[in-house]
Parts: sequence; C-alpha cells; structure tokens
Amino acid sequence: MSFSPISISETDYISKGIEKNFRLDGRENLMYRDFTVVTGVVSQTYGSARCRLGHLGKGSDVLVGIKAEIANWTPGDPETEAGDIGKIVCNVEISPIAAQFFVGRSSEEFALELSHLLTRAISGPQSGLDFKQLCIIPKQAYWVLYVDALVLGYDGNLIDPLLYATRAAFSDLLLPKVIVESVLDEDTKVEHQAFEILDDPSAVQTLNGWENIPLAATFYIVGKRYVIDCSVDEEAISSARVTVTANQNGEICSVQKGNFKTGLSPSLLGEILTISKKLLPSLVLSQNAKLEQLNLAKSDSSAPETSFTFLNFF
Amino acid sequence: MFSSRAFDNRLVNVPEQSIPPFLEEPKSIKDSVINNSRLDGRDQVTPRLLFIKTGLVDKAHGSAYLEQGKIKISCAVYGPRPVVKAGAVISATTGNLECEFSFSSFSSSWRTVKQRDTEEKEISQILTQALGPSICLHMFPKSSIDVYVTVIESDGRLATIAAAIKCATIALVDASIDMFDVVTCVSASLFNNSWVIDCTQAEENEEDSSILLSYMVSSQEITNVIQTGKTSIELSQNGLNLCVDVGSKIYQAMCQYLSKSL
Repeated sequence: MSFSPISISETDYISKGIEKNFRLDGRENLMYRDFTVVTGVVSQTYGSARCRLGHLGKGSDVLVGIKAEIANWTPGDPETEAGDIGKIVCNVEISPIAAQFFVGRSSEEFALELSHLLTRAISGPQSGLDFKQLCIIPKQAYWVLYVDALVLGYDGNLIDPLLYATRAAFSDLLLPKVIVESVLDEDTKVEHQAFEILDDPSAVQTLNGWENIPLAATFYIVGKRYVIDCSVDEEAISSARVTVTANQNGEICSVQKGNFKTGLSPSLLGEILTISKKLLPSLVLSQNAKLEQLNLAKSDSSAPETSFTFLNFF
Repeated sequence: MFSSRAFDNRLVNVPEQSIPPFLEEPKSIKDSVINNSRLDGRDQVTPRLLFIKTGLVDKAHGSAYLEQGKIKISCAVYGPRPVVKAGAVISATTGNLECEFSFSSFSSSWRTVKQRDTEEKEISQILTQALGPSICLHMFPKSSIDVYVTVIESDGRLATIAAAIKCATIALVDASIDMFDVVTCVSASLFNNSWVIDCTQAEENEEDSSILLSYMVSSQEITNVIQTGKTSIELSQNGLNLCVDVGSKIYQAMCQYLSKSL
C-alpha cells in the first residue's frame, strides 16, 4: 500500500542502502525500532494498551481497548456452535490524525484489511486464549470481547504495533466475576440456570492464556532484499508485504501476504518463516519484561494518574 | 429329560451360539480424512475435478464459469475502461484493478445476507492481491480493469475463494488482457499432521489450520498466501510445498482448456 508519492532518485537511494544492509535511520534490515507500551490507559474499558513504535512524539501509534459484553447464545452462529465458548470480535479504525492520506474514506479498505488480519491472529484457537473461560452458561450466555484498535500515528509498519498493543491489552484485561446459580421457576417447577455479575470491583479475573497471544513481524520486500519494521518511504517503494505471526514457542499462527505489486518466490517465503521463528519469541520475551516493569511501577502507586502517564510516555 | 435347548427338528433351530448385531459406528469426518478415505472418495492430495467454460456473458469483455465439486462460480471482466469509481486515484503509469466478490444469498447452508458484508469486502481484497501481480498493469495507464465474481453455490470457505481466483484469472484471459501468467489457487487444511487439499465445508469445519495459496507457475511466484491456525514451521513449509505442487497440476488443466478454447 503506497500512500505517498516518492521520486525515482529517492527510491534508488533507499533501495541501494537496503542492499548494503544500512537503512535511512541507521538500522540494519532486520532490526526493530523501539517499542514503547503503556497499559490501562482508558478507564472505560476492561483492558487497554497503547503502543508506539519509533521516536517520541512520532512513529506508529496504536491504542487498543477491550470491551466485554454478555451475549445470548443462539443456535446457528458458526463461531459459537459448540455452545461452551465465548468469542472475540476485532475492529480496527484509522484516525485521520494519523496521517494526511487517511482523511476521508480512503483508509477504510486498509482498516478492513487490518481488522481481518487481527481477527485471523487472535480470534481462533491459534491465539492460545482460554475461550472456555468466556462461556458463562453453556448454550445460554457467553462473553463477547470487542477488541477495538485505533491508529493514532502512522510512520510505516502498522501491523506489528497493532498486535503488540493487542497482546498488552489482553495482559491488562480484567473481567468481572460472574456467579451462576440454579433457580426454580415457581409456576412451571422447572429448574434453570441464571447468572449474576458481582458488583465488587475487586472481584475480577484475568483471562487465561494471554501469554500465548502471537506477535507479528511484517517483512517488506524491496528489490531482492527484505526489511522488517519499515518507515513510510520504505513502505512506498516496497513491492510486497508478508506478515508472519508467531507465539512465544515459535509456533506459526498466521501468515498473510499483502500488497499486490509483485509476488514472491516460495524459497523466499521459507526464508522469511525461518527468520520470524527466530525473531518473534525474543520479541515476546522483551514485551513480557516491559509489561512486568509496568506492573511493578503500578503497584508503587506513586505514579500519577493515567492521563499524565499517557503524555509522559508519548 | 428335556433340556431348555431341546432339539426339535420340526422347527428351524437357533444356532448354538449368538452374538449381538455389530453396528457400525459413524466415523467422524476428521478420522476418515486422516485415514485417507474422504467422503467423496478422493485422495488427500487430489483436488476436486474442474469444469471451466468461457464466454458466457455476452456484454462483458471476458467471462468464465467454473465448477469444482458443488462450487459454482461465474465471473465477468470489464476493461480496460476509464475509471468509473468515484474518488479513485488515477495513476498515469499503472492501471487499476478492481475486484468485487459477492455471495448469492442462497450460496451457503445458512442464509446470512447482512453479516456477509465485510467478508465479501475482505475476499475482494484477497482477489485483488492474488490477481494483481499477474496482470501487466503498466500496459493500462489511466484505466481500470474490473472483475466481478459471483458465487452461485459454495462448499468450503477457502475452497470457494480458491475457485473464485481460478475463475477470475480465466475470465481475464478470455478478456484478452495482457498477463504475465495464469494464477492458480489451492486451499489446504491441516488435520493432525497431514495436509489435505481442497476441503469441502464439512471437512473445513473440523480442520486444525488452513492455507490458501495463489501461485504463478511459470514465473514461480506466490501472489498471495494466507495461513491461519497454529502449526510448526516445518509443517507450514510442507503445506506450502504441497500447495505449490498441486497448483502446478491445476495450472496444466487450466492451460489445456484455454489453449483448446482458442
């Protein structure tokens, strides 16, 4: 997806640099920019996180909030047919704040592509989440988690911070506890189950298995080389894009190619898979460390209110 | 003295020993797929037979109809023609490829018209990405090529997308649009540790993970790949290789038809 026009000489300059494994901002081809992450940024959600990739004040910036709702089970819905699981619905919006070319409806197609990519990565068993925990009463009521992502800044490579922020938001997710009890109907003498949500704000539970959520590495193919985490200019001259998501054990969870300028050879795809297997588990580890640090800082509680940390970090 | 088993030759006597009737347990689809005995008698690596016919829509510049098992798809191509989409960016160097994919409301086992909305849009994007690299878009500056695909009947989500891509590429050839190569597309599902090609809806319901691979055979380029579900890296590479192999066979069948129809 090329949003910005770019001159021939600049294209040449960037691609020659990539051939020499030296990019415009001094990085190597397979090096990420720094991820910054904060969790619990939006008080109206059950879990939220904001992730920025790149320098302070610029870079790609994604905010993810997770809202939970209780839905009634209906037969025929292919996702919850079994009756003992909940479901996750993903949606990505790109704010016109992010970049000039996202103004109007032009960003919708891209946003839709990102929504489906996110859905593919986390809303199935491959995300490793405990979907059974989201069931309240089998074949009656279940939790639906709405994962809404908002893109606030754009400096190339939206997909990786999107999954990064999503994983962080799931680590922050606290669902209210629900009590299920049997109720005897006075008139018909039939026993049925009913649930009650506990009012107590401390009666919350985390969602099991968020550690298994995959992170993404997006490879952009420029000439015969490929780079990860590219900037806007590099993205404009790239001819194809491959996103690989893998979890902490290095298991591949999804692969998707985007951008329709050219194809890629099967051997190159194999190479990309091998590299992402090495790359992603270490990225997961570094994120875990960051999240742990955040939790420690929170338990200190001398940290200021959310809006202040929000600005401090970004 | 008479025992309870007294022999009476006026009657047809029961056998000395008896066993309860043996009822065959219904096999799960997953088991039968793993044991290489699929419901329609196919092999694990055999795709369904194709039926292709071009030139069904008179008004369009090119059109194709494709059957693959129960799947029935028709496709029409208009173009190259001036860009008609409002607000579209007109490029002076390359043409624009627009794909529109739609399910008919009776195409699947459940009738969902409204909810299909974003799914249709997403599949349209997959089509654009899969077909884009195969078309010489630099030959058609300032113009657009529009591909319209309608699914009359579907059987298996990924198999339907794969069939749609094959149908669209044949329609593009029928429209005499300059192309680098014909795109073949193969879907595969993973059951335990074995990849199974071209699954029906009943089989896809029980899959562990899936691949959709679009491939240009003579230039050996993958134009689009989507893999969903947890696998190890070796397994997913096996799956990709298998899809490439099967894709080459489908490619030969498609080319055979196309060269005959000329």
